Amino acid sequence: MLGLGLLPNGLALNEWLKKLPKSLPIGSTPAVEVGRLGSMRLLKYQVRAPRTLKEPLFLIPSLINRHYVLDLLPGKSLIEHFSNQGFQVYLIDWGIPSDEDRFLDFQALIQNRILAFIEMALEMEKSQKLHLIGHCLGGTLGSVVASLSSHWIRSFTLLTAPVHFPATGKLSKWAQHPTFDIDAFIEAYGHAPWALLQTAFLSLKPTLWLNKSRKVFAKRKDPEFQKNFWALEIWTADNISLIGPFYRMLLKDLYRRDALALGQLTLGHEKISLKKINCPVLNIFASDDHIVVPNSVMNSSDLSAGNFYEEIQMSGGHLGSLIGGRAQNTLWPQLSHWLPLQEIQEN
Amino acid sequence: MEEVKTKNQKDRIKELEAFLDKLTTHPLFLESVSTMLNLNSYRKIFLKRSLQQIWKTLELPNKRDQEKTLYLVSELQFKIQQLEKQLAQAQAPQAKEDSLPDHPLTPKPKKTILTALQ
Repeated sequence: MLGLGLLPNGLALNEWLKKLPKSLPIGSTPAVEVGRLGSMRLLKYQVRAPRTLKEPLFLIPSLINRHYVLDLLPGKSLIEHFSNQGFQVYLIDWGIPSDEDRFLDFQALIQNRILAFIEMALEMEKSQKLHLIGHCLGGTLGSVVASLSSHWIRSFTLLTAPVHFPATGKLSKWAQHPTFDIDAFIEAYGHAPWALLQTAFLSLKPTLWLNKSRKVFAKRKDPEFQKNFWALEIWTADNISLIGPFYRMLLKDLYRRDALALGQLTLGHEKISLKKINCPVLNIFASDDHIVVPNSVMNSSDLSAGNFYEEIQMSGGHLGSLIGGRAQNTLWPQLSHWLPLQEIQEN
Repeated sequence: MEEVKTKNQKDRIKELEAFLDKLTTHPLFLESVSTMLNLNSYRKIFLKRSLQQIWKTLELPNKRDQEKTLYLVSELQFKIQQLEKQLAQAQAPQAKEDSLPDHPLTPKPKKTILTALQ
């Protein structure tokens, strides 16, 4: 920990690796930058088929890792799948937090970044509504956005996103330990250093690398497996630091007080309550997820009675359940059927 | 024979995992990691504040001041863009009718500028 100050602010491995010849085509679905606020960008992906979804899809990825896990490799990309289905996808690329982002508090993050990007997407599409999708912590932020302004959201999909933080197993045990001085930590470092986050995630399953090494050796002659394996490993290692004030809020309000699920989280003077969400909600979670354990995700009782709620439980872990082979054959078609259905039902 | 060997290996990995789980959630372990992180944070804060004091004595802006100024400038720039957009909408009522209604997502300028300046 003493040497953390000497480390660069985020690995940004993918950018570096892209410069290498014969590099893996990670995050290669064509996209253009259509907006930039500070270090964050709004990406608009190319639609590769006639539009089948009138309103755009707006993706909020997790803040901890890079967004391209949802666009890992050609043929193994959720975003590419949506593009091929004729959906217009917008996505927030959080970028690497800059030094001045240490002053970006939760309110500014929601209002001056996420909501501003949503507004840009709506204006560009000349649309009144959009489909919101949040992955992991992006889903948590999406819950806040949906509870603030549900009438602009046609549907809200959570992809392995935590809402009940004290139930997140080992992570919550660490975060809730009372002697850890979060304020001092953020004052000292500005952001939560990526090296600390990576160490924490690796420590969740400390023997995982043993299983991985055995598997990668056993399948050393399977080029498809090797390609997918290394693409995912690159993404796993490509951590970015977490914006300081957001990390403070995450630990103090969400992990220690469960403020979001209990309706005690505030944004300025406004109270955030999941019961205010009044659009159809689809919750996708994984049975063997050790990062977002099944009892930490949203359930129908979190929402107001009568709000349309559906859930899909997938087998597999935090990522395998979303981008693995089974997900491609079952979850992705279900998603591309469910989303247009929400537009038809409304009309 | 091979199967037995693999089973033994798997059992050993599971045992190791259970042990590491216990270790990494043990109060004593958490206490010592917290103490280490806290001490390192306090050391860094002390160094930062001492340096800030030196810069202040020399009447020079320190890194934190510059970062805060940069942040506020970018937030003000964002607010100006929002205000310009609102002004353009207000000045073209006809165009406004044709386009979308006011977005409730647009942050209230006065409130957010004040928040940013706090």
